[in-house]
Amino acid sequence: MLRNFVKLNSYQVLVKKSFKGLTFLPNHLRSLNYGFNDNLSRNLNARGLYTSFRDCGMFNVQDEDDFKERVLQSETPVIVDFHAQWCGPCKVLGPRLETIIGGKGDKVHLAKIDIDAIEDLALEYGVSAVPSVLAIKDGKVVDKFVGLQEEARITTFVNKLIGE
Amino acid sequence: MVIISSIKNPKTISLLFRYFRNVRYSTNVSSFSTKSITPSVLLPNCCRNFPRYDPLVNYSLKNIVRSSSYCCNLRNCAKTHEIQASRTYKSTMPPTFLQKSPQEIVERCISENKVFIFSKSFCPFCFKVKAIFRSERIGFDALELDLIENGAEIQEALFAKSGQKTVPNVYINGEHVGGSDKVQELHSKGELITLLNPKTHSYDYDYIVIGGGSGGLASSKEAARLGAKVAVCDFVKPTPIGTTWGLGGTCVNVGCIPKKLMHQAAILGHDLKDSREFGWSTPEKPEHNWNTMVEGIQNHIGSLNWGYRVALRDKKIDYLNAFATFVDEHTIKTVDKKGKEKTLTSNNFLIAVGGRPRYPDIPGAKEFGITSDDIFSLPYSPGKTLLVGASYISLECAGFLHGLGYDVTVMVRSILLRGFDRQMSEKIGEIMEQMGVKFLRETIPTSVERIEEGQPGKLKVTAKTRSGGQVVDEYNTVVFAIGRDPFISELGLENIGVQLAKSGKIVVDKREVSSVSNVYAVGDVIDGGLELTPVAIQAGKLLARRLYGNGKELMDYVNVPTTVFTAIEYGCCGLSEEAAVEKFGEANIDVYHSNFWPLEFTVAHRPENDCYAKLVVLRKEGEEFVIGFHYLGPNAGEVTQGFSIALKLNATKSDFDNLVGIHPTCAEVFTTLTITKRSGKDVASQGC
Ligand SMILES: Cc1cc2nc3c(=O)[nH]c(=O)nc-3n(C[C@H](O)[C@H](O)[C@H](O)COP(=O)(O)OP(=O)(O)OC[C@H]3O[C@@H](n4cnc5c(N)ncnc54)[C@H](O)[C@@H]3O)c2cc1C
Repeated sequence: MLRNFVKLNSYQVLVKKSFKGLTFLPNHLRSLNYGFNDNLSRNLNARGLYTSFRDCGMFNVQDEDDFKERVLQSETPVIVDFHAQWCGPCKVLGPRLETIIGGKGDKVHLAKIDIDAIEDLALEYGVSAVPSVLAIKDGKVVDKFVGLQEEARITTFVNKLIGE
Repeated sequence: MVIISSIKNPKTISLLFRYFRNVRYSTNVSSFSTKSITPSVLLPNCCRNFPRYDPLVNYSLKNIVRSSSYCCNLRNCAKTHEIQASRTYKSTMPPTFLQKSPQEIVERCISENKVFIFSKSFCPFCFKVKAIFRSERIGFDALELDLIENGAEIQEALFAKSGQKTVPNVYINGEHVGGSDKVQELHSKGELITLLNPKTHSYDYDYIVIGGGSGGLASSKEAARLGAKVAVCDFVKPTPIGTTWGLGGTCVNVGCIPKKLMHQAAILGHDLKDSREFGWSTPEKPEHNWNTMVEGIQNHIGSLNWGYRVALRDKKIDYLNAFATFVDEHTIKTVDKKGKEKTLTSNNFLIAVGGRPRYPDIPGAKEFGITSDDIFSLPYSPGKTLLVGASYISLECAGFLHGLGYDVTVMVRSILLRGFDRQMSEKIGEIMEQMGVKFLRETIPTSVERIEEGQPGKLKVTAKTRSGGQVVDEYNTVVFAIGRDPFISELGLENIGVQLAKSGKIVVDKREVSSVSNVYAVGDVIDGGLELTPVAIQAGKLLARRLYGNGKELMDYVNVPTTVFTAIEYGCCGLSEEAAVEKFGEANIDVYHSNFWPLEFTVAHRPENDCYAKLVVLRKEGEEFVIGFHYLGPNAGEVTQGFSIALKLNATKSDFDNLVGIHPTCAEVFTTLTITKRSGKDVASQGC
């Protein structure tokens, strides 16, 4: 999985979040901001996941405008992972999604949304339990699943979206 | 003695007598004596919901006829209010009412009742319509035309008015709705509720609820279900050390939920010890990781917070994560986290802002002490802990902290668990002391100083005893649990003139109305209420039904069961022994009691006489009514919840005796209590 990330783009940094969040981030990672705003580090802080930074096929949605731009208006199909810091299964599903989607090159993107950070978006898409995963193509939800799934099931889900 | 007149249906008769024990009954009016001291309830045939015999009330013919909505004129009463009303609900239909002209009766039934059904007691379509209203929990009033003398004339007058000849004939808000088909159609389209609450004002909302805790959320959801336009404001002001939390109020975030889960963590530790006696190899000293427990609990709470958020959205309730302040009686100002202000108006308001822990006015309390608002998410293990106060919150925290292996001291000014049964409270104290919790009695803290930084740091607590002595000791954590104050100082109540009681809480009447007629209050914030989540929920729901569902039912604050989750759990319902004696006199009260040794304690060699059961009974009319239930032992919440229905239904001691026990359980002890305190016999259980 790590290798997949490295292949994907040059900016990314891997962060493993521990219980108290950013306070456990090694110092050299804290300075690696590449001009990203505080909001991003706060979001990162709220993650229990392996997360890549901006401008790659995998990203944390910052706000509703960001969602519009990078998900709804995206020419590439996007898998949206609604997750929460307090959700155990999300922490298992996240890396699985990243591995599978990372293996698909640029055919599909992965957008992650912390439901507590962008509450309205989660409510708008009817997320009543997490993890909730949507497949979005041309701005429309074409498929979804809720709850932790096996890798095979996720692969089928992703393949279906990109027509493989 | 119960007198029933002209009941035709034997089924109804048998139903009536289920509620009334030990009474002679007659259908002969002349045997009804006003001098009778036996319970005398006058029950006309149409009365389906009538008050059960309540041993706490002194019945006389006079007060029943005057105060009950169910009994008016023996022959002519045909009015039923289907949602069970409380004892004090006054009939709007005086006995003479049915002697008026048919036209006037029709007009007044329609204009004086929000939902009115002209009905016949045998008509299946009428049953259907009533069932719809009942399923929606919408209150209605009905007149059974077949049960009154001038029924045919009234039906005629009704035909002239509505053009509808048949029953049921339904009116809502004075408007003719129609019969069974029409009601069914409106119901399936969801329009019944729209008819019920037409918009009659120009405010932004029908109902703004301030406080998204137990009472506020329950009330807002019920009001929205009944068609009201609702908004909820919830905002958590951080504690002095900066702890804050999500939607759901005290119970979910910093009360019942994390408390019970930490209690469970402690029980598991204890069970691990027991398990060795049952053959398991568990470590001599099992390790507990505070942070793992806190993370697990906080994650669960996070999911609950989200659940509430989704529920509000599903019910189309506007949610504002903002702090509300009254500007005038129809206007509030809200301020969110970022300082953004909004002004909202509403026809009605509910204040359900709950309370927050009190700090003593001593140096260092707020700087170095914490409260129950902080303990459940404390990011480090608390270490040696001092709990200040003798409230149930203090003792519960002491219980689970000790169970998790911490060195725990409880500092109390006077008695333990004020308001609870004295014998039970002192027993809890003794048992906790035996378990190793230290108690500093008749002592109050005078200062808290920090002598070492850290997580946890080290604090020096100075205290004085009643006799004038000084106690100084060091602790890692100091938790204040000396009481809770209503959270209203910044609510702007002075702007609308809401009356407060001496306790600082809001004065409300039985209908939960404050001194300002469109401002209601439920939950921890009301004076004379009970600070319990299910009470806040029930009061909030019933209030919403009265406001928007034509409900009449009032919150019943009597016989509410509760449980203190101390290391040894204590469940109770009804009166304490002291309260019973004070109210009815020692001569009329008996106490049945017994120690018991739970089966699971035996093999584990736990103490034989820690567990205890008692029933407080009132001797009246040749019966022994159980008016107090007290249980000290495992699973007290589960046991007490079940038995409390018996107290609600005014069970007698012989009902308990007739009940067959479930063996082997702890609860079965209540089916075999034979020793009274008066007898002086020993109740200690006999071990081997
Ligand atoms: C440690 C502890 C343990 C407990 N254990 C139990 C138990 O086991 N069983 C039980 O039944 N009860 C228990 N309780 C009591 C129970 O939590 C309360 O009775 C219940 O939460 C009261 O509900 P409420 O609706 O009155 O207020 P709350 O639940 O306190 O909710 C009030 C909400 O309003 C918000 N608020 C306040 N002012 C404003 C404002 N101006 N604007 C916007 N929002 C505002 C508050 O932040 C809060 O979220 C416990 C309490 C504590 C502290």
